[in-house]
Amino acid sequence: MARRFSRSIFALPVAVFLVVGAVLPLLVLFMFSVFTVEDLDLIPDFNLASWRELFTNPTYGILIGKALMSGLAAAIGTAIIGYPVAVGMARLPPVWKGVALTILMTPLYVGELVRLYAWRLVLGTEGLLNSLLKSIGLIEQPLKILLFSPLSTALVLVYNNLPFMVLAIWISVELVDRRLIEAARDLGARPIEAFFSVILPLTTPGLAAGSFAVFALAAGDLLTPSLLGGTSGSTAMAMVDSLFGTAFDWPTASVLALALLFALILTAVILAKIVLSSRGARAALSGGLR
Amino acid sequence: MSAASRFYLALIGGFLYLPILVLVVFSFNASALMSFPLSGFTLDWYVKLSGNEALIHGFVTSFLIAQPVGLASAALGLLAALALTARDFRLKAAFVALLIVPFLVPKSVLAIAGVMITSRIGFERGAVMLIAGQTLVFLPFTAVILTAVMVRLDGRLEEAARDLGASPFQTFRKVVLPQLKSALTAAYTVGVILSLSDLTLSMFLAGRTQPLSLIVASAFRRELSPELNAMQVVVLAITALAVVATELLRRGTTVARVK
Amino acid sequence: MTASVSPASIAMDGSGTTARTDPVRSPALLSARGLVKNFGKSVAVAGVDFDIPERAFTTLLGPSGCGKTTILRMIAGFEDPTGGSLELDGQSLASVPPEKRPVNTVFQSYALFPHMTVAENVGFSLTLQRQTKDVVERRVQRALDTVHMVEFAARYPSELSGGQQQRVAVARAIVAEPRLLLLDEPLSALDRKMREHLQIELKDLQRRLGIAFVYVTHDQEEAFALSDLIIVMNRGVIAQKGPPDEIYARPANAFVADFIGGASLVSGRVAEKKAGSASIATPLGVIEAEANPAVSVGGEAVLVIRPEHVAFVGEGERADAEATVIHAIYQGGRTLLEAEAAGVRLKAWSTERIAPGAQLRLALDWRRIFVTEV
Repeated sequence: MARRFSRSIFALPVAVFLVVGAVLPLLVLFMFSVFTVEDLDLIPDFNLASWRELFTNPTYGILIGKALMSGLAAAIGTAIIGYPVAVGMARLPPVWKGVALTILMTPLYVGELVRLYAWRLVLGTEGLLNSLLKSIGLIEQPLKILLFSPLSTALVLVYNNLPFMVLAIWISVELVDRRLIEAARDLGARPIEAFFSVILPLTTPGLAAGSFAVFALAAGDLLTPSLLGGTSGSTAMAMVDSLFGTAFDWPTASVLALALLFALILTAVILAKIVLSSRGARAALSGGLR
Repeated sequence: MSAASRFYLALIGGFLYLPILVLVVFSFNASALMSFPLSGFTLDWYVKLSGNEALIHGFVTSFLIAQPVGLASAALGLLAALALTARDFRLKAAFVALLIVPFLVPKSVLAIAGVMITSRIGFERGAVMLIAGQTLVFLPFTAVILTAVMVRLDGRLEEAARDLGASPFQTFRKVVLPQLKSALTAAYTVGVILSLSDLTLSMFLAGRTQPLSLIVASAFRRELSPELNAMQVVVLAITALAVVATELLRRGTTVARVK
Repeated sequence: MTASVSPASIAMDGSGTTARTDPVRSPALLSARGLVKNFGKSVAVAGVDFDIPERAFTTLLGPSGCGKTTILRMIAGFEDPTGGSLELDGQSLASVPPEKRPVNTVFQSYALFPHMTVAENVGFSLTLQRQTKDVVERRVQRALDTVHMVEFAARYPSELSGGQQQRVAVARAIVAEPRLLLLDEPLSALDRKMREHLQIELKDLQRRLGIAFVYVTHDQEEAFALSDLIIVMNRGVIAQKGPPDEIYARPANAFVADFIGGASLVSGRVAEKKAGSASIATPLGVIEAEANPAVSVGGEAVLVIRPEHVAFVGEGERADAEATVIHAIYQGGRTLLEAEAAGVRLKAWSTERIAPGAQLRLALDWRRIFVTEV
């Protein structure tokens, strides 16, 4: 009699693909980070010059800090804007939930570039927003700050990542037992009190997952800042790109990419940990739901 | 539901679709200058687009690359979902962590690191690498879609099938797979759509292959043209059709059961 | 009973000097008149009138989907009636939100807040009232003491058994001293032994608190064990309301007779009607028994024969029917027999074990058999 068949065996090919495609390249980055470049060739001499560069040249630190800040801004912005959306969606009648979900997710399917392109039309000097402001007499000269500024980058980062945040929170709002809300109302809580005492604590897992994903996506975004951020758009990712491509400085590119990755994962984990440390999150995750 | 919360939902809906709406409006605007006020309705940009071979060739390339990406990411997503929903999978946590890696690591870092390896071993960038790279990055999405459906399947049906004499493979083919049909279609469509909309990976991995997003990106850096608007609207329309079709299929069987 | 309560009667009751009379006769606390609830096209509650006495244990009893839970939810304020009125102490409850009603609920499966300790759950409503910490602590302590759960105050709901969670849910609902406590099948998730134990505690608690309990259940034994007043529901309407013994002895119609106590129903036509009794022609012969005044001569009616109304008699004694045993269900101390006589199925208790196929002579207890509407 053969060993009992288990479906877990299917993880093997997927795991191999992931290791070769994602883990191995990251390990190789480590390797290249201790090499030296000479005459457009990599010398495997295991020196830490590039790592030293990371800690001595403030440019890299600033770039990584910028990436983290834009990730945080996007996470906080989407959380504040998205939370009421998720709660509102959870209250829709079932038929409308599907429609709302489609409306929410469809912009995600529109290409990265198309979205940026469209925002240029909205925010540009001759764009929708400036024309609108001019026509109602609020401004006389077009506002240049709308486009190619940290402001436009933040706005579009929020726009790009809002659906992920709403989706994560919405799922956890749906998981909160309706009777808990009724119980709170029954015991004398006004709707707003029921929200803060029951819904908010019990949806922290969704908030954590959403923040984690949005932060990672926004902090690692290469396109948005470089295409909409103007002169402020020089980012760690753009730097990695140019070190790797034009400058052929692979070791430094590797160091910067790894440093960014570490900072990113560390911050994302801390962010999620903080949110998850609440009692509501523990209750929700320990299956106290249902 | 209060009026205030309905208004807020509508407001956010407007925010999500504002740029898309502007894009569509300008593609029909009778002026090469993209500024307000509008100058009148025209189809000129669509006519010009139909004569622009570079753009059309780019679209065909994108479309041809998207097909294997959709198929491969759906197939691998299915394998991942099968493993994740197995009751006796002891390394589940490690496997989940592995699945998150392509989502968490910035696409550009993954792409650059990948290119570093392949160029050292003399493997050319191009369509094959782009397909592999996109499949890798989209795998977390398709795995989530398929796992979400699989966890909702009634495990007793499989037990019933086994009890009635079906082998594991027969159980999968005759009981599990039919229930997953629409989810698989959804996963495939998501793979195709994400592939069509990808730029970052194409920038690093496409090599001499020129998908549409790269052509548009190079034009984007120079100047905006209404012809490009028209192209984007066409891509948008095709995407929207695919989304709606998938959504209808998906809803056929797996409506989220929400009280 | 009147629909509204005069201020005088409230004051009198509030003084606590009224004699301990039958709780069913205590003044109405809550009155429903023509209460209707539709969900889209389906009718959940089809126009009902009832009064909830202010010191009684009232049970809404009926099969699932009969509208009993919907009525409870309308009283709590979770559903708005489609029509009709609900009044508490003569004040309309229309547009009064749940948090403003002096009514608390013990939910089916309890709905304890998983992120709060037992003490925090129980103190929830007091905290919302901005009571001082001392007051909250003292009253939580007292409420937990009432349900024998003081030592679990610091636990989380997930660390409690089903029966313990149920007690916490009760403590949470009584801590703010509501006028009316609603209980939505609170014991349905528990095993039989725990259920019977908590039934006694609930009944005892209601007597001690002296407030109105409205209890929803589909379990007739539970309803009989607990209630001063039972409202039997069927398909959105009230089939009968009254004290348990009344409902058992004089069911208003065939549905109530069948739903409660598993009576054998024998259809027939009313031949003659006197004050309080009627003669009915059935396959078993013409039988005269106490009757529902609503039956009319010449109309269809049913004879309600409960198993304990059927006795076995030996040869030579007077018998009402010769019967053949069809089924015999052994129930421990006794056996439930189903026997056929003249084409009619009758249930009867036997202390001896009798096998299917046996021939029996049956005598019916005429004084306890009841004639009622179809």
